[in-house]
Amino acid sequence: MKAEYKSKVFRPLVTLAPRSLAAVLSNSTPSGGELTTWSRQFFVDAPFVRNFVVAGAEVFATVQKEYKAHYPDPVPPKIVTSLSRMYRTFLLELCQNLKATGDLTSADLYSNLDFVWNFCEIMFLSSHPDFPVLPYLVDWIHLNFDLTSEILPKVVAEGSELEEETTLELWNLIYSHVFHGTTREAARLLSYLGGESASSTTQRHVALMEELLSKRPEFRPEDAASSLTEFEALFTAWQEECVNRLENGAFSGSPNFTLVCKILCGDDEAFASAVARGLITWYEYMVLLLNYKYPTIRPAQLKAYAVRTLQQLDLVDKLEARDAILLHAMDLDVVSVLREITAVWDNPWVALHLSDLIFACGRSSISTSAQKQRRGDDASFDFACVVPLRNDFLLEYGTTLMEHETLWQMGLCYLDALPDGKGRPVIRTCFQHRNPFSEQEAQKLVQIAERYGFGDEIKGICRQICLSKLKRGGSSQAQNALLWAIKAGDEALTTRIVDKILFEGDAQIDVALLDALLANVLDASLAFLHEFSIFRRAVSEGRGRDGVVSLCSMIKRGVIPKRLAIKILSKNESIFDDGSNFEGDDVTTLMEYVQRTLVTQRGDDYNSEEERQVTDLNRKLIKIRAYRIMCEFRRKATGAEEEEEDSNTEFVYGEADDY
Amino acid sequence: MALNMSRAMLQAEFDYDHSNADHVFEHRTNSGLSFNNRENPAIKVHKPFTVTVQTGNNLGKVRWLQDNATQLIPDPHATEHLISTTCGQLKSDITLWKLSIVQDEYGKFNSQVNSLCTVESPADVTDVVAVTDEVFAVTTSQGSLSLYKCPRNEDDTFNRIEHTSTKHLHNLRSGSFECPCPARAVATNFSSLVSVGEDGSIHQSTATTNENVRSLDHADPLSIYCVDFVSRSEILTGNGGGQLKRWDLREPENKPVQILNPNFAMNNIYGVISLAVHPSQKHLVIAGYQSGCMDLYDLRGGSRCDPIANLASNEGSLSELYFHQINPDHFFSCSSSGQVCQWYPGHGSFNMQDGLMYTPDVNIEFLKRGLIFKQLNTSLFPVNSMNVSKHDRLISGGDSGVLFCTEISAQ
Repeated sequence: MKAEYKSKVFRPLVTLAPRSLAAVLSNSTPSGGELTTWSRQFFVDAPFVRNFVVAGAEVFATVQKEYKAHYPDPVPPKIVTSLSRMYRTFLLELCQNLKATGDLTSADLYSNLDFVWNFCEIMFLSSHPDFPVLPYLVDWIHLNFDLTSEILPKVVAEGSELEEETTLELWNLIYSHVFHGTTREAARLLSYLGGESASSTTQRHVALMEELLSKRPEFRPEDAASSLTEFEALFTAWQEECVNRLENGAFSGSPNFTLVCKILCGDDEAFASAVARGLITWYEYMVLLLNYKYPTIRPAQLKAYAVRTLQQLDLVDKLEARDAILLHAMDLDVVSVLREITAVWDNPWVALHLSDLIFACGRSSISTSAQKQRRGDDASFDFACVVPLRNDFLLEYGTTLMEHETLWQMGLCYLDALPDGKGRPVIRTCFQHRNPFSEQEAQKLVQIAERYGFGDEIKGICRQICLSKLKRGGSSQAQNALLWAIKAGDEALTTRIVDKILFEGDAQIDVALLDALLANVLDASLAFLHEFSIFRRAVSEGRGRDGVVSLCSMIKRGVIPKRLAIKILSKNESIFDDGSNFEGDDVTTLMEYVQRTLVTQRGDDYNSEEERQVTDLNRKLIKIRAYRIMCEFRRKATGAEEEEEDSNTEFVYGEADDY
Repeated sequence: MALNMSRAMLQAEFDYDHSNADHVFEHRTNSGLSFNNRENPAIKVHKPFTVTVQTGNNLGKVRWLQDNATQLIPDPHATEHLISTTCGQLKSDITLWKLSIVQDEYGKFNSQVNSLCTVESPADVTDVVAVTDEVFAVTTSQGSLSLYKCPRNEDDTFNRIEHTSTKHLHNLRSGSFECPCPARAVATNFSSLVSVGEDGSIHQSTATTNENVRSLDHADPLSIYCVDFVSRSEILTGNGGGQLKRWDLREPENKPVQILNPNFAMNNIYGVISLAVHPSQKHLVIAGYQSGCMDLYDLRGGSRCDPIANLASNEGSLSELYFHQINPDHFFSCSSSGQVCQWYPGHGSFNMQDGLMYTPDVNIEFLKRGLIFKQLNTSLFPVNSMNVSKHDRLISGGDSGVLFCTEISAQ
């Protein structure tokens, strides 16, 4: 099932892909504008592409976390490789989804990318420069060219009696395993040939070959105990045994077994006959060569063998874009690899994530000249270019995402990854382009702006919401607008709205806002507002006495604007309803103030409504005065002994009406 | 413990190998098949599952389609339905999903989430509430309250969503100019619906016919962000200035019966974005703020009482809060910093408000023992919504587009 899927993916790679690759290569003119268009249209239309972008961003964030956790050391290759594999999983998933939608060309293109990425992963991330590269290449070839799942079910279904055609297919499968270097797999498959119905000679051959194939030594880079010299010795001994078996005629009479044994011995003629059978691509041939002739070559030496393979197969002039990238990767020429990848797959996703992995792996920080000296080869290590390249890709991809309607938050994590806080101004610029279409969206933007400390942006966004509230909601939204003005920290706007509420509205400000007003924006010029806030808070909380004190203090200090005086008094009449709120000369102060205000008001512009309000106030104040006098009178008349019963004897405030 | 989709997936794929590529694909599919039940088939013990589905759109709200009026004993094998809505664009998709636990031939229980159908809402959906196990109400950014019904087939399955009715309720007026204003939240007591909006209005409608019963126009001078019922006819709202207001819908005046002001020093001018009312002690309320603060209030304290305790102050606004209905010592939160947390009594700490000691009439276990939490899911992107079902499953969704579903235990 698994392998079947892969082979289905991979088959078009071998047959169809070069054409599509070439077509894309000749037409591609990468530019930021096109990418933006691509991102806008493609992301929205296909949910699976969006999933691909989100999944990529999540792995990217993990890479950054690992990078920070290990800094200043590079992230160990094992971790980087596993992260790279995650990216490849998403690529394969994308292929699968593209196929499901019927877009086979793109599916081929991306399965090619997985193939190329896998090779780059070996060259730049997972392999060690001082250890053989072969084990990784064996995996690479096996993953992409394994046909076991297609052929094996047929073989199993036919049991011990294999038809001629199936036998041929089985042999092809065994050959491919031998070519790929997965000899243990090949040994397992041989058992299908050596069943009970097979001749005794065949059974003997199978047993002998199984032994040889299973015994083939393998170098395990992850196994620290296995030293290279030990491996070399084992390999030479094993190959000698193969040669001995061949020379002893152990497989005489069976051309297939003889050919396999010759291959194991590293015989050039046998290799040539493998090519002649048409079983093999140049990638496989190169690995075949390494498997049985040069199993210990280092990554930097690979190019020479690849060129030799291409020459042998007469393919030097027939290279495809994909092959060119592989050759660049063998040169460890990361710049060319990234350039070609960008040219072929016109999607910043690819080059960015690959370059980021190479950056995290830290080979960019290795002293390249020292390495060259130590290894004495002339491979060009141009890793120093990875940093600026990565930065460019980050900028491009991050800004592309930031322009997207719903994916924009993803852009942040990419721009954040730019070194030395270079992403901050870019994020700020992108922020300026974002218009919140709702209060909710604005809140989200403000929160992010707060995280980055973009004071001006917060101010801008809050101002925008504030003004739209004022424009759309009129006076009913004035307090809401005030809240946003306070959030914006814009004193001028705040003052204007407060003015609007006080003069044009009902002079009622919510307590929550008053708190905010007190704590946030008030300066000396807003002394009145400060006092007014205290007064309003006292009134709304039912602390009548505090309200009166605050009001009288405002009157004595003369901070109440004239035009507002009547409004403030009449809108807060509740404090005049309880005479016990007043003490000392409070009533006198207020009465004088009301009279003075009335006179001024008459002088300015006469308003019968206001006059009525003032008369009402006057009446209330007279009532309070009467009440105060009665209280005083009663206290003096009843004397000290009745003071204890004050609560019973004191006037109920309402009684003052009778006087 | 159940991890974030990406995390769980990343863990699963950390030792990625092409030879098990199919296994990896199991975890992320568009059709939504995914599971991590890998127990020994011989031992048929139910283990908590976690399902993640990439939906390909920013998720605004996720809600179980269930009858919240009744309570059941949780059944780990029950099939349930849920509603998700998309956000971030001018219109929204409403999708009905089915979560089923299927036993395969080896006796293994696998959980699946499949999408059943999608309808488009002409405006961005701002809140969803399930009225019954077939009917749900949504509010939109165009100020409307709509009812949708998922008709049940004869074989007890669902396969479509029908739009029943829409009422435009929330408007802003400036002179002769009138425009729709976003409704922000909707709550139900199963006979009526209450919607609140950024215009500060509160509208009560019938849950069956969506007819307007009572309107409190511009009752709050600030935007109202959240609402919940605290009794049959009393609601609690949270506004943009951080105030909680209790309204009695029977009162003729458009005035709140109680106002609770936030702890200003901790909240500055952040709004209340989420509310959770204790299921058995309706006077206890947790308010979640945009600042990331989470305060516990006792409504019996009268107007202007301070919160009893500040339970937490994190980064990122607390998008939603939810009490476990059977064991309310456990509650859940999700936040714009990408976390979905389960809070429960344990050896932890929180700030009691000054001068307030634990009082025996507030019967909350975590006030006595302390409060701790575990993260059920973390995401790079804001988690906008979550919900807990009667069968102890939690779903969450956010700007990453991942629908995350996990089984919880509240013991």
